[in-house]
Amino acid sequence: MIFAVYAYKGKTFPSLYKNGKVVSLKSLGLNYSTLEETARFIDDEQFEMLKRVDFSQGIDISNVTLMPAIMEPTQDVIIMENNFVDDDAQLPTYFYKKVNYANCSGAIIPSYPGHVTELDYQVEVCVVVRNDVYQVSKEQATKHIFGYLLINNIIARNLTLRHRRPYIATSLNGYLPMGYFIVTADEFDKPIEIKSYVNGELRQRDTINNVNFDFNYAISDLSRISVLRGGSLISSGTPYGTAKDLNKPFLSSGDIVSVEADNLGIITNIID
Amino acid sequence: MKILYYEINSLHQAGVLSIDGESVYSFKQLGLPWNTIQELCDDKDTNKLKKIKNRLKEISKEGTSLRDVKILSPIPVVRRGIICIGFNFQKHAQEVAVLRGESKDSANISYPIYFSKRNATTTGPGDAIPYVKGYAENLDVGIEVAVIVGQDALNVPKEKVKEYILGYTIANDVCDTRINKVYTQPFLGKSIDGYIPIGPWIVTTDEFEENPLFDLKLTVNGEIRQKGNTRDLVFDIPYIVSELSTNMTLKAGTIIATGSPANIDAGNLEKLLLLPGDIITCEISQIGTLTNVVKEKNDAEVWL
Repeated sequence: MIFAVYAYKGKTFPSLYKNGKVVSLKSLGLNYSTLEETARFIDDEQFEMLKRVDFSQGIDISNVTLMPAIMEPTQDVIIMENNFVDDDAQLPTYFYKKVNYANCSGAIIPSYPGHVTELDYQVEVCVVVRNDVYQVSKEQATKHIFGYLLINNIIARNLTLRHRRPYIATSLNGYLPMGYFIVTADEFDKPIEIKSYVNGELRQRDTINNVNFDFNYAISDLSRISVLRGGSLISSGTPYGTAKDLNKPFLSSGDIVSVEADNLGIITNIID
Repeated sequence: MKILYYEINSLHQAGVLSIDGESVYSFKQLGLPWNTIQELCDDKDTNKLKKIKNRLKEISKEGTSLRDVKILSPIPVVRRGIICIGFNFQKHAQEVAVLRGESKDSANISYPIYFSKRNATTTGPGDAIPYVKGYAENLDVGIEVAVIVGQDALNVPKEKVKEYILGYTIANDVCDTRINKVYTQPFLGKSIDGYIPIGPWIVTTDEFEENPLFDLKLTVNGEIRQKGNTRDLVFDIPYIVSELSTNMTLKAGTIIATGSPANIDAGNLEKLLLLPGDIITCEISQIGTLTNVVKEKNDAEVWL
């Protein structure tokens, strides 16, 4: 299944998507106001019901506007840092990225001259957590994967250096371009390949099974002694190939940056 | 004014302490619309504090006695994490550096270190701080002044910060030092449920000058553990809020913990570890007292 959010006449509707058509969850009797809420509260019966939805009455997406799948995450996004780095790390490194609002494809990424000097891209895939989780094993964690979502985890490297932590550097307004679709695990028959491009030049390319710590590990680890809220976003971290890794110029005004993943679409943004 | 969230007859209400401090009025009793303090924060009315004040002055009927209510965390559901500032008291930074075997000079910072404690919920006065046997047994506590943002703040200059703050409360930044150490970062060990008691109420900003100075004192079983005054903050509250709001909107209701002072007896590690039954009291001048007890929690045994 593919979940999406569309806007129509100033209102937003969490919905199911298939072949260019959307069916709002509301029309199916589910009154969740966001996909974050849907992921948090959906039960097995509702989930099964959604698999049988008839799209013949769906709305053609040319008549509506698709929005980032989770426009205003109510909690910080959990990022697994250095998760593609080939080292013998025994435990993941988590950090938290504040997101006031997500951007969609086509939006302008602010450059904040005077504040930001080293703007970098990072293609990542987030898992959207299904239902509140408390103390699950890695095997049980599979049940808590609602779906996958593509993001570009924009970072201002100079601010990481200045404040010793990536918090501010990744949390500025407009620093989370996000995909339209949350795609359930059963839609994937091979590991998700992720890529990024700057002005058409391929920069990053890897598959998310190359991480040191996978989503099952993270869900299990993070739910050990705290409730991990359904709807939370946990990000894979980014593979090699950022501007910093490659010693390439950082992003600057007019640059076009794209991130892409199998089944999850492509997000293209221009730097202000 | 002291804004608080409390329970009476199993109902949760947001309200304000009476002028004499003996009783509480819910916002509903005052004819005001907010059910929670988050709703008060979300209200775009810039005169909202004045409104509460006027209604409080006008009301003639008696409120509910403070003794009859259970005070809850003022903001029990956290949106987008709690923003923390590391090493904001020089002496505390030095003691941490020394404990890590680094030089005292490494504690000198030119820019604030910000990070987020990703707790989905906070706890309130009297709530237990969990001591999880076999997993989180190395508890450390830290008293901090918490700033509550009263309306969305973006690119706010230092001189204007006060207008964007709803008020101040007490936060106890609990962490497990072992978990922080094994993960080599202070995130997971700080983000455990029950590790951020706040309260007892939010003292509104109109009671203070632009950059108020607070005395902080934390005791464990009555014995002083931490002591300080916010005049010793490396980066003061207007600076922090202004900088954080630079190109990053601080949404109404955001909690910012501004830093913890040094321990009185930092060298003595044994003495610092907390045990079930320990009573932690955080006291901040002009705000009040926040007391919590460490309590053993056994349900994580499966993870040993």
